[in-house]
Amino acid sequence: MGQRRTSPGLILGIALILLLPCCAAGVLAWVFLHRPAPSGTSSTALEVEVTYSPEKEAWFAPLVQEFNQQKLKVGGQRVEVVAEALDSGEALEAILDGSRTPTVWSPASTLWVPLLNQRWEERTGAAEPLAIYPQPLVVSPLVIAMWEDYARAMGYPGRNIGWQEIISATLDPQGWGAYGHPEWGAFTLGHTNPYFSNSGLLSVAAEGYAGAGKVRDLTPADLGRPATRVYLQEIEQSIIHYGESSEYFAQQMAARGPAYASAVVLEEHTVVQLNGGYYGKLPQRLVAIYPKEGTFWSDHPYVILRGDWVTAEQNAAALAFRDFLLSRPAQEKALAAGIRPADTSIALTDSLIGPARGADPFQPQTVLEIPSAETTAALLETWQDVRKRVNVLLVVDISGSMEGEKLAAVQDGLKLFLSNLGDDDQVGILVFNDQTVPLTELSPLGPKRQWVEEEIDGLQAGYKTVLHDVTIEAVDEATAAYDPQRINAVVLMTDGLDTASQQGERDMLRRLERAAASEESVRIFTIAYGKDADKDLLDQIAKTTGGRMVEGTPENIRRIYVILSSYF
Amino acid sequence: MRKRNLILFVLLIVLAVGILAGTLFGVLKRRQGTPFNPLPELKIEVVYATEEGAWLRAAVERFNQEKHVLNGQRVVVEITPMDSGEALTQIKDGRIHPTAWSPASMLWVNALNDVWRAEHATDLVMRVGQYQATPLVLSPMVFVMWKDRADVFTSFFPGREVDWDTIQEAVAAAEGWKTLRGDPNWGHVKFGQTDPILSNSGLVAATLATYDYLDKTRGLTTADIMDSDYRKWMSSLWGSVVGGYDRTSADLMNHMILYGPSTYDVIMVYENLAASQLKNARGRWASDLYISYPRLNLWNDHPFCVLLADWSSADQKDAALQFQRFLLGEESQQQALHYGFRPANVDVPVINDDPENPFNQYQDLGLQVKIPRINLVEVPSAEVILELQVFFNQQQR
Repeated sequence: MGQRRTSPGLILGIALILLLPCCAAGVLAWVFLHRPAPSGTSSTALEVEVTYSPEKEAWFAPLVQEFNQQKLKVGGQRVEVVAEALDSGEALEAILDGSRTPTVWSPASTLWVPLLNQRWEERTGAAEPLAIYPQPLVVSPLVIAMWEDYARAMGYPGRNIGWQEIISATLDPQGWGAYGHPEWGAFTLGHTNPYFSNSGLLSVAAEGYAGAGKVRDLTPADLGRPATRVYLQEIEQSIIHYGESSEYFAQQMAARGPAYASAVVLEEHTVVQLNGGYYGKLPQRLVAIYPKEGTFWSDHPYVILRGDWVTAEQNAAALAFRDFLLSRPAQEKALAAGIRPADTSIALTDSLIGPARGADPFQPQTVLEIPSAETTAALLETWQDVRKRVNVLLVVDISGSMEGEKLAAVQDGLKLFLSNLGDDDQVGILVFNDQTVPLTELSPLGPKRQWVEEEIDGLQAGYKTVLHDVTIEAVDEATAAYDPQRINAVVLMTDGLDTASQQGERDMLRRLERAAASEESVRIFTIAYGKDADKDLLDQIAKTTGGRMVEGTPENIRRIYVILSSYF
Repeated sequence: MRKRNLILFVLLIVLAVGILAGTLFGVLKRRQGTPFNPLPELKIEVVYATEEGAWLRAAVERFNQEKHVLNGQRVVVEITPMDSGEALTQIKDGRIHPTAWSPASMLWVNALNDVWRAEHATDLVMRVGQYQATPLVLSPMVFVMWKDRADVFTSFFPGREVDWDTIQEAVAAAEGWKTLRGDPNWGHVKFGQTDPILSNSGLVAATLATYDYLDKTRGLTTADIMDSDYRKWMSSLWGSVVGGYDRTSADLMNHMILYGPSTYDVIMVYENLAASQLKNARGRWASDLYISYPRLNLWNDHPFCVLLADWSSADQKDAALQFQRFLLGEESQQQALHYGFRPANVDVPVINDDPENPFNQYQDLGLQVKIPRINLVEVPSAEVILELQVFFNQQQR
């Protein structure tokens, strides 16, 4: 008795009072531990511009996305890689003229690196090279992609075939008749434009070696010899047409089969991808011929440029991106795209690079020596002299919908196109709205170059569109002026639907089909300009004649014309 | 107080204290990154030749995890890879201040002492005494050739070895492998080495080729390098290089496997690189690789050099020695075998029962436990080395 009982409520109250600050401390600590990253982190991303060759796009583009998702930080800033696929030659020119200032350049081959340095030094007088220490990311040998039946007719796989033999076949008037298949017609070969694309430049280098009868030490003097030049000229005569990228050739091979070309020069992985149905179903398998005299490796180097536009942080971020591309998971993904990884601990055994896809992982057995920058420059000059000349009719829509900026951009594009042609290329221009007006007929560009440019500047837009009529007229004119020694083509640009033609769509397509089947076939390259263009019809026109449809806007039309000039 | 209430009270107090302690521990852990450690750190920096990379990185990780202590401080090793030539320049110019340096060979120690002495009238690296430069691992130079091509090669040169004289004859053969009675599709015989201006192994290769041509093992002079017959001979060898001159021997070895016999028929690299890469080459091309040893050679002994510079304290220098002892310990030396290095510690045999040891696995590919013939050449003077590099530069277009 007398002992006071402590109330349970009081005890609980005291306990709660003790517990509350602890809980509060716990909550505060939790907030502290889970607070955002420490100060110094900037909300703006550190952009790393990467210009890479489109030949590796299937492997490269998804990795850029994956890298950016990792949200890696350098100096407190999140790294954002902004990558653009640009043909090696085009990228080189863009870096030189300052229109692109990437942190990283990854052309298709190391061959382009000394070329950039040499031109950079000429342009800026800088003693230090712009690009050093190229590091291969993935590799793929340059091969001659040939239809399997055709290759077998030449003795594949038992006989090793070389550049010399391929070149002789293209020059042989008997064509495939010399191999027991006169029904296959002439031996037609395609390679990309060496000024734009890696495989084109390497093809011309291989032709140069074959012409000089060498496999190493090719010099400008070798290329200057009359016999070599005649040889190169003869080869280029057999070329169907050029083009800015391997991808276009791959698409055409898949779409048109042997009728498009007997063989084209591509990287091995493009053959692997073609046989895997990457570009659509093939009429028969393609096989990679590894030329017996040797070939070149496309080593897809990663080069961090040393331009004054690259900051130390961007340099560090570029190194991190390079390490990511060379990491094992990223390298293993190259195999899935049919490209050989640079990481040699990854085996090629049982990969896509095998006979089922027309490739041989044990090839090539020998290589041609990479020419010096000086010889490469001489190769490009020689090619410009000996390349196949062109008969090209430019068809330009000047209907009312083209008024203003749209026409101004086209006028610039047309002049850029002409600047890429030589004086002895033949050019005609046909403009149309509700009627067709020949601005200039097909004739050598040299004597009329300045006059034509002035006429282009004077173009004015108005009235309706006679697309069907002008297409027929263009084909008729180009066919009438057909020259087997030249690339014969029409480049047709329009921004809208036909509104005033006398001829119907079906009549026009029938005319194109007839023209395409004739000996004097002319390819039509079409530009669907702006959102109102009839893309389906323009695509059909291009496909019927073996050409290509591209989509243009006032922003990109200048580049579209430059790209189309690569076909000639 | 009722017993039930007392228990509740105690439980709540325990819970409160628990939360408080947990919070405090969490904050501490967050701040320190590791459990609380009262010992201060004693950091040392070691600059090393890139070739040692894979082995050294693994060793440093183990060393730091083992928490070595010196005079009440925990030793922490940090390492930086750098080509030997570049490291020499940076140390000389005061741009880096490592506690220790491990270049590819003793050749660079002499070179550093030469340039250091000119300015400071003393050596930076000792050759005797407690802090003397001490080899960590050993690797001679080797020729690496594709096995099928090596078979053709040795059949064509009966009774002769794969060496500079036979390689020079082979690269000069007008029709390449066809002349050597090999497959004509193999093209010309293509040699490979690293850039002798940028890379130690390239300089060693050029030095060995020069000694072999002159048939001597010492006394190389600038007049030897100026000799026109020698220059013609050497130009022919270098003229067969189509793969370019890599900056490091690791790149060269890697590129030989990547581009295969198309680009490199035979190269000269460090034995450890060849040994460690044999497994990657297996099955990649139609043939395995094959290793041969030149008649004249130089050891790349990867010396560990504690720099006697005033930028490191006595404790740091002693910590560096502690790390050196760790690297020369049995475990580290056995690990070095995985990377194709020969242990500098004579108590660790080259052959053991470790399945990862290439010396156990690849003797059929020419890898020798005991090198059959080795005549060491004298390291040329700085003047001769410069002349050789100038000559190489003139050969490049």
